[in-house]
Amino acid sequence: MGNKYVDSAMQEAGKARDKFSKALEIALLNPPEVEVGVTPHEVIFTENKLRLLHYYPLAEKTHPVPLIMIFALVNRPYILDLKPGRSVVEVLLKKGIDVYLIDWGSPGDEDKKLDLNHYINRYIKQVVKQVKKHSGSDKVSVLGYCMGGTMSAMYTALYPEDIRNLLLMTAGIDYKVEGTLSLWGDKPNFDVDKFIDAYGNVPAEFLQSGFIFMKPIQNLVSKYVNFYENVDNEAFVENFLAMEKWLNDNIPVPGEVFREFVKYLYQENQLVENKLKINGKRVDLKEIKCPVLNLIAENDHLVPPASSLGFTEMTSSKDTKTIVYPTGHIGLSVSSKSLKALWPEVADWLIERSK
Amino acid sequence: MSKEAFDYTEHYKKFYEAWEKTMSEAMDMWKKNPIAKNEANAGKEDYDPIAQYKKFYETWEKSSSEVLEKWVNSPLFAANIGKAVEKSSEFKKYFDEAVEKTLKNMRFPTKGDIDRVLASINNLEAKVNDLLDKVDDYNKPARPSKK
Repeated sequence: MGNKYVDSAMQEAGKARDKFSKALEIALLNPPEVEVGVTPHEVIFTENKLRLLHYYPLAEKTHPVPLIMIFALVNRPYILDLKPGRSVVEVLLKKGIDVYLIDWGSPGDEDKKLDLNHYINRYIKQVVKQVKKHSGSDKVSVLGYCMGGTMSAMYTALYPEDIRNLLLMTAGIDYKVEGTLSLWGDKPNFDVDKFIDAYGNVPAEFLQSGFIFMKPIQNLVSKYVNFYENVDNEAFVENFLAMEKWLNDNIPVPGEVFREFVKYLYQENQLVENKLKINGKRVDLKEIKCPVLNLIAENDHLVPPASSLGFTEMTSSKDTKTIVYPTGHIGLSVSSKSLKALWPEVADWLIERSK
Repeated sequence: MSKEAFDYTEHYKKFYEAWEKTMSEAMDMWKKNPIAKNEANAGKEDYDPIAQYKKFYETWEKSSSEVLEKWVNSPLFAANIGKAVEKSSEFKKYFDEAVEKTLKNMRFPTKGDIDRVLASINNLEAKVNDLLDKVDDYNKPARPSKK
């Protein structure tokens, strides 16, 4: 009698085997090429590996103050323009915002000496200058994502005269809050000098495995089980492949800037304690007086919400807004919920302050 | 997170509970399997092996995630991983220095030499960009707005 169940189980196993082969082929063995970052743009400035992208307008009327997006030094910035219909850049362009984006490129070993001073006082300063020139505007708005947010805050504190509006997305500010990266990067656990002296740049694989280890089951098992279950859903597969491409498109981080981030921020929390100096000049967050919009992902495991929650109070700005959105670190830029509800609201906030 | 704040006893207990929960789910799954029952009762109730397996997987996934995520957030894990990184850094430095010395003795350009040349080119590019800016400012002192 058990045969009935054995037969049904065998049938199910056969179906599962076919589905598994399909999933394996698409996800790991032979993933189809996915086009990312396709919103039409031109490169208006280059220096070393840095490229400054300017997106062509998608609205009839463009607002006068341009927006510069400053991404982290980890991974590629096209997460902000993943694919049509899943792009922060596209949402902002359709609202009439003039969008520029910094693509830091992939640093080589010769870039290991690039430090915070170079990124802030050379690269970002140069980019702001180029955007001002290109757009004809005497001020710009900046939107910094993750490490890019931290650097945007530093730049705004050092050059407040350049910035009309400051927008932060999951930006680490207070590094003494509890979090996995704070724990791993803490002085007794991590000798950053030894590491950078040996490796020069931070290898992309080092960072990637760190991120995977933060949520091991989710990244190594659940993600693929979920993919297996949805392998026949075309839209799901398309999004999955685009995300996978981005997640695996890792780049090294220049050693010196990494050393400074770990030492000055993770280990000594100098930005919050008002002790951080870049090229001899103190980075005083109280110098930030422009309107500030602080976007925080409620379920962020990379930058805990508490790390950026108190940022607006650390500035002197009288026009601030903090939005804690129920999503994760990456979900803030790619989830359909964020793109439909959050980003139009961000655009409206910006337009209101770009007249 | 301080060492005092992390309760290892509690963590090992959670680890045991997760294992126990997963195992009881597996046992439960097996007990419901008609093949494991006596033949007289078999076939009288609906049994979906896939749904049963999924339930088992979900239990395993949830409990393992909780335990492992707690573990990677423990000071002991952080200290051990830090030690491993430190030792690998020491080895890499020793190895790279040995290679560099050998190449230098053989009068070959080393990776360090090439990096220095590339860094100089990058510095030159930055200077050219500054000069281009100056020329641009000189030629067009008041660039009209595009808007």
